[in-house]
Amino acid sequence: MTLVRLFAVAIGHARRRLVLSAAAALVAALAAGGVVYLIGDSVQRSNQLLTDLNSPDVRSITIRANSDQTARDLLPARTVADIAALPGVERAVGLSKVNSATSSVVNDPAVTVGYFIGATLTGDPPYRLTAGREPRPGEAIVSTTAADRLRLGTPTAGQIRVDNNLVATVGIYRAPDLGAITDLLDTSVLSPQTNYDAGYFLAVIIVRQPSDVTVVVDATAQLLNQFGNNHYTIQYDERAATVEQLVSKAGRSGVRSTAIAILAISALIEAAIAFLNATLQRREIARRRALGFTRAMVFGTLMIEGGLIATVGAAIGATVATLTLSLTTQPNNTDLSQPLATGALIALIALAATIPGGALAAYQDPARILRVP
Amino acid sequence: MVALVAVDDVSFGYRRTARVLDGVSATFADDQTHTITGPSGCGKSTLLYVIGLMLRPDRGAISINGIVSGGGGDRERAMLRTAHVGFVFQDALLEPSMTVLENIAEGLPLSRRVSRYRGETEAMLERLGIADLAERKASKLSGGQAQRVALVRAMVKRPTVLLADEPTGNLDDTTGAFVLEELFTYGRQPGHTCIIVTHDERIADASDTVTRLSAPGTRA
Repeated sequence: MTLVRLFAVAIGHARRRLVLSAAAALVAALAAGGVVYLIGDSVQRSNQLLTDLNSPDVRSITIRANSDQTARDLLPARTVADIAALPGVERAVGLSKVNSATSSVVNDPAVTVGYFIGATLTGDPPYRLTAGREPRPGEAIVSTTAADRLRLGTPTAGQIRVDNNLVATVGIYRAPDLGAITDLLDTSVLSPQTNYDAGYFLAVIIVRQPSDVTVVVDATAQLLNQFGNNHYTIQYDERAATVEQLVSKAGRSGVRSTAIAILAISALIEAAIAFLNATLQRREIARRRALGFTRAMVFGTLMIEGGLIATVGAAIGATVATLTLSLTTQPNNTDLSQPLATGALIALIALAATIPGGALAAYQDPARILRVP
Repeated sequence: MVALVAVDDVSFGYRRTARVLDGVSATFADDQTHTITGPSGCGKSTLLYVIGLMLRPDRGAISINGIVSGGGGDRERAMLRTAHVGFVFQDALLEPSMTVLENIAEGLPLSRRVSRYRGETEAMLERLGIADLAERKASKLSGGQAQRVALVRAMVKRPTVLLADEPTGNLDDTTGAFVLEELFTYGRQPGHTCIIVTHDERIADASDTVTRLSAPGTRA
């Protein structure tokens, strides 16, 4: 019963001093909202950067022969197969030397697209069929762009000319995410093949993690070293090497110090409000002491009042910040543990900031305040 | 007559100031109304608050209803105060934004339900002629009405000793007389007593005993 009555006294007092209560709640709301938004935004930026850095563009390594004039200029098929088998490699595709495919229907040498024999060395093939059937050896599939350019009326049952040879087209494909060669394949004609011993002009390696890039690049360089440095070019995104530091930095930059500053300032303001509250209700507290309140009850009442106001304020601030974040960021970001923890922390800090004011009120001399001069 | 309140060789001084009470002893019997008088600054109110256990004496002890409180802890003195002491202040000391009933409820022991005192409260409000003000905010009351509410707040829990610090100081003669009559009536009930601090010699003359304090630091 005592606790219930103390809660009633605390709530009643909070309602009577509405301006102070609203100020304390506002400080808690701003602090909680600010910190929740700050952290949430930081996490969002880190996640976004991680997603960006985790894309095949960043995880891809392109190995290109510097010339395709002779068979000796190409990347040896066995060496590329060894590279494709390296630990950390998720997918590997080898493309033959570039040929030109022309339309067998429109005999116009100006209308050409690239033609490759593509070998899947590791992982998924470098295409996805969207129409037609899987090609058999010697047959080809075309991208939509290539089919349009070659004016193939029925690309799933047409013909193209490659080096004076007629090649049947049996399907339409779309290139999945293959990093640097995605655009190239999306405008080409492809004859898939499992084994291709003639050597490759181009090989694309997709590693599992951005951090695998440098390891695989070093190993690739060692494997190709026997052919001389001028024989090939290895291209990769240098951001991959420092991906963890980049993500960590994006998430942390200034957030920690700003959050600590917000917490410290809010604690100071809450403490000042608690002092003001205790000072303004000196006679009220003295009266309660005369009516039977112990010091602990006076202190408890002020702590309950401060705690309730801070909790309501922090809850409102954290909720508003969470809603704002959910509206401005990706919808799948629904982790509520951070706003809950921040709201609880702000409420606790506000409660701690109330202690000096509460102690001041509890230890004031009621007789000195109440007695008639 | 039984000494309901006994002050035994009590000394008290505020920090950094001279001693206000020095070896004061007095007894206040039940079934009587007592006044404490003396010149300004002689320690009348201080003695009242020492008796009311709001100030801890530097030396000596207070006994209320046979329970002795010397330098006991805050909790012990607050419990004794809740159970045995009622206060009436010069300016009523109501919370303006609360209703009459809410103000009265504030004087009730925290460990008990307010509803337990509803009947007694209504009867007292009726007797003091302010039953129709029960739901009115204290800020809307006149000085006399407010002091009557303060009387109900102090008396409704039936304390052993009712302490009043210049209770008529802010009231007109008619209202003051009414308030005094209530205090005297309460103090003259068996098992109860009323101690009034006043400058007014007429009140002292009307009371059953008078304790006169002289200059600060002197004995009663």
